[in-house]
Amino acid sequence: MAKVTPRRRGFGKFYLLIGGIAVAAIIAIALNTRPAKQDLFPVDPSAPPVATAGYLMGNEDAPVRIREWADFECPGCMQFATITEPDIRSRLVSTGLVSFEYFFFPLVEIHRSAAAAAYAAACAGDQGTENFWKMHDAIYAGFNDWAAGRARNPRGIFSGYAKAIGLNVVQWESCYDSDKFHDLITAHRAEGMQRGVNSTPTFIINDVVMAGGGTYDQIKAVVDSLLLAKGIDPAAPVAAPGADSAAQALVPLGGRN
Amino acid sequence: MAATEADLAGAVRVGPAVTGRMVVAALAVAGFFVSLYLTLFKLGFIGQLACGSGSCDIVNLSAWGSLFGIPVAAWGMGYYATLFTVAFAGVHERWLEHPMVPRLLLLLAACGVLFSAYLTYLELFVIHAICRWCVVSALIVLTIFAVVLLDRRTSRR
Repeated sequence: MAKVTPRRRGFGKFYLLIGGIAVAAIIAIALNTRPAKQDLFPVDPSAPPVATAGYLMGNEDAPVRIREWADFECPGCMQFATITEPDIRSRLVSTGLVSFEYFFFPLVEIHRSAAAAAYAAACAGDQGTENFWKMHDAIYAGFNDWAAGRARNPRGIFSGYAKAIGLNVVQWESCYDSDKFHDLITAHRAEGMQRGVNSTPTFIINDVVMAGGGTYDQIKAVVDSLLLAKGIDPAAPVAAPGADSAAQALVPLGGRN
Repeated sequence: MAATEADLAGAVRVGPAVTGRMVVAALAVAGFFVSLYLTLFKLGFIGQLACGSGSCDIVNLSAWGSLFGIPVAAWGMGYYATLFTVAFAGVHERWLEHPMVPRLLLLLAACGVLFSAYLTYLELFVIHAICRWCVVSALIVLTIFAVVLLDRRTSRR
């Protein structure tokens, strides 16, 4: 009994320390375990109406329009584009009740290739709005190839995407190397800032601002409430193509002016 | 039965090793929870990491955020759990004098330092983004390594 006393003298404190660390860590994690930061608030009524057109997908006259301000090099935007957006397209936009509009919001202060990616997408859109969306998808899908400093100059990677989606690469490169879309990209960002966008992705769904992204269910809840407010039953889509063909059936309308 | 002089001498001799292993075990618990936090983020259970102005999300969602299809942070959980098990066992009578315990601890600590150095290199020179929690984990591993080395030196005297 006495043999172990010297060795065990500190065991009580040891177990207490281990337990204390574990409890403190669990509490800290629990306090920090929350869905992605997502704030809902109305659009500032003093903000002027959106004057610059984004890249529109879906029914131009849809009663609900989801406007997204995003940065191609923002991980949250990438997650949204690759995980949530396919559902938005196939389950909301395909109904004809919802349209989706993309605005550039490159955070050039912290993301080295954000502006380059915006130019790449804008120049793809120069060859047709549907090509903007193809490039949009390619850029986000290839996030791990070029973002976060993986490519010192992502031009070659984006050029590869241009070729893969069937663009006129010479024309695309000529556009990319010019400042043709500088003003548009700047205007998109200014549009967002006028509406208090200060993080990406931020959505403005009609007159509701959803900052910091959101899950499909969160966006759907806002969309449904807006539709109901207009007397439209969200469960009765005006055009309901087959689920599988929905994504392919999307024909981006309107677009960059 | 009263403690014999030999018992007490033995207790005194292994005292620093026991203390060192306790420190290693405690640090391993802290490291385990840091890894758990990052794993929960990687798996989508945490929407945002408390990272200040750091770039935890960029690092964890990068191509180097997974190894063999498993999040690096999850490997970290396994690593710290193993380290804890060895250190925790090493403070108990049965394993206290076992020669494998210090060797295993040294091996694990050295592997941890090397892997952390590799991850830090990736953050600084490849990803160009720093994850504060990864830095915390690297510091934990480095401290564990220092404690293990100090203990070995003390034990040999």
